This record gives sequence, C-alpha cells and structure tokens, in this order.
Amino acid sequence: MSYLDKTLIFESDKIYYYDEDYGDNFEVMMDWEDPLMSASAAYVCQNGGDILEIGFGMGISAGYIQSHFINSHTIIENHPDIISKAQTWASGKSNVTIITGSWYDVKDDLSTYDGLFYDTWGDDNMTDFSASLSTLVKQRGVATWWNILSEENNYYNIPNVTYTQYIVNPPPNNYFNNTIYYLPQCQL
Amino acid sequence: MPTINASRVGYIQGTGGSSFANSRTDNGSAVFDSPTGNVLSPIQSFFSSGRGGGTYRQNRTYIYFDTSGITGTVTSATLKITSYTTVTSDVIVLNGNNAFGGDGNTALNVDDFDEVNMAGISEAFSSQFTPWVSQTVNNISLNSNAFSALSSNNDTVMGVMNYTHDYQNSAPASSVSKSASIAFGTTIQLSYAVTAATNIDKVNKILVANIGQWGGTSFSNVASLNGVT
Repeated sequence: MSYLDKTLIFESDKIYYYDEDYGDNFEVMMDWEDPLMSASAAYVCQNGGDILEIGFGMGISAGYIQSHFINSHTIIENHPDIISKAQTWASGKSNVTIITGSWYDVKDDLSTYDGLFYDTWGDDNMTDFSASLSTLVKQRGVATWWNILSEENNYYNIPNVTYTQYIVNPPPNNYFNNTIYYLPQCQL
Repeated sequence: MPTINASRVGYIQGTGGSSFANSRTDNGSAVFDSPTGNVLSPIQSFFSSGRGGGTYRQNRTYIYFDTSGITGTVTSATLKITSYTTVTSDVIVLNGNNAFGGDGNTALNVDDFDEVNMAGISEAFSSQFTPWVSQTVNNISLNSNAFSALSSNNDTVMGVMNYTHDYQNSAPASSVSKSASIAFGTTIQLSYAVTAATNIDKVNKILVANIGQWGGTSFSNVASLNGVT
C-alpha cells in the first residue's frame, strides 16, 4: 500500500499514519517545524512575485507565504486527505491556486516561478527534483526544500547551495531527529 | 538424513533511518528472542520515501544449532524454515558468527544485528533463495561454506536476511517492503548428510578422497578394509 493509499490522522500538533509493514507510525509533518516553515517562506518570498509550493502538509508554510507580498501562490498536493484541507484553506484567497496530483506529472504544465518551496512526502520522483529546478524557477529566482541532512549538504546533490543553521528540538519522530536544521538556499 | 532442531531462534528489527548504509550496519532497534508465533516480517527490507529522503530498515533472523553431534564430513545440508504468509522477499543464509553469544547460551541482542557482517567480510552459507513460499516448509540448500562450518564447529549460527536489497547492498529506488514471514511455532530444522569418518588415508597409495568406488560400492559406504575402519 503506497503513501497515497494511507489514511492520514490529523492532530493539532502533527499529521501521521500507521504503516502496517513497518509496524509503527510515520509522522508526515509536526508543528515543531513552525520556525523552519517561517524561514523557508521568507526565503522563497524575498523577491515577491510568483511562488510555487510543492506539498501543503499542515499548511504552516502556506500561511507564512501568504503573509508576504506576492503576486500568486500555487500549491501542488497529491494526498487525498490533505487536498481537501488545502482547498478549504485556499477558499477566499484570490491569489492561491491548488493543483492536485503529483508535481512530476504536472510539471510540464506549470509556469516558472520567482520562488519555490519543495517539501513532499512519499515522493518517488525526488530524484527528478534537481533536474526540474531550472525549468520551474526563473533566472535569479530562489528555491529551498526540506533538508534531512545534518550538514551543509543536500539529498538532491544540488550545487551552489548555501545553508543557514537553525537550532531545533524535535520530539522523537521518523523523519528528523537532529538538533540543527540546515536550511538550504539556492539562487538560480 | 539426520536432522537437528534449532536450539535457539530470534529476529532483530533494524534501526530505521535515512541512511541505507547505516540501516545495514547499525545495531538493531528491537530484539525478539525465542518467538513462538507467526511473525510477518522477521526478514525484511523496507523503504518508505518519506520526507526529503525516506526511511530504510532491515530485519534479520538468527538461528542457532548445536552441531557438536555431527561426526564426519558434511556433504549436503538443508535449512528448513516454515513460512507463515508473507512471501515478497527473497532470502540468503549467512554465517551468523557470534549471535546468541556464538554458543546459544546468550539471548539475542540488538548488538547482534550485523553478526552477518555486512560491515566487513560476510560468509554466505547459501545462494539466493527464491521464491519464499507461504505456509509451507522452505528448504534452503546450503553450500560448502556451511558444510565446513557444520563439520568442524560445535556451535553453528546462521543469519537469514533479504537478498536483493540487504545482502546485495542495493538501496531501493522507491517505496518497498520485501518481507519473508516465519511460523516460529514450527521448529526450524537442519538436515544434513555426512561422509563417514575413516582412519584410512590411502589405499594402494591412492588418496581415499580420490576413490569413488571400491568393488562397485561407493567408498563412503565401505565400513572397513581388512578390519580397519
């Protein structure tokens, strides 16, 4: 059973699901990330313009992106349980467009953006992300993504990235248990 | 063929994390010594492409046999494991070295997770075994490394693990759960055949090892020559 077939459980401080094969819960997103989502949103919105956000999650970063002066805010989300929440959240926000499905499947129909925030779960096209950057982000645009590595490096082998360190104190979870988050900053 | 029951069995759940390499060599996260029921994933290679990378985890099973009673040279051996239901993983048997303390007197420990020695030089006791068939006895033919260990050691520990990903050091590219279940309520067994030990080194200056038959009888079945066993 793939991630998209899992029934997600929404609690005030996290989204998670139970994986039968693993025999344990998988946290998809947790509220301890709030400062990181704020910083990520600030980075991708630094030039204003058109913002692409891949992965809605708890909507924390979406809220911060909306707090900046931007022209448009496009959100791609693929999990059915989250899509409905994203659509509800977007109601009444005139500059928000929700696109459902895999970012990889719709990438050729997208525009180019001034800022990109990539933060997915269960994404089997992660290895295609770096090659897609130049077609999704305008020249001199900026991008960041969720970085699991506890060093100045990134899973996607994207070059010329700088990092800002954030001290974090996450509760035990299945996706990030370090005390320093290296926020990647990539200008095209 | 003679059969030995496993004296001790258990499985170790590896430590989940974003590094495939570490998932193969770190200590386990949980240990299940002497289970008696049906277990879905005592042998497993798991990957969930989660948040910005994903989570890898391996599960491995260890089996201890008291092989002190084997006399002679083992010429064939089969490990017999009864499965439960899950059938998605191929497996391989390796030398389990010092799991269970090496002598079966110590409970399986999380530190035993890599006694199959993926961090160093491992010793295969079988080739790839596939398919793992559900609700039946899976008969895994062992190789000459195992024959040698069974012939010479009083204690033999075997580790059973996923072949394609865990043993082959091949990280899954997308989410996957490959598991082989075990019905631990059915005793895991080892059957083997031996060449009888002999005190005769040579016959007419020919090494015994090079004599196939004697008077039409397989030499291994000759009990004695001129009263010499």
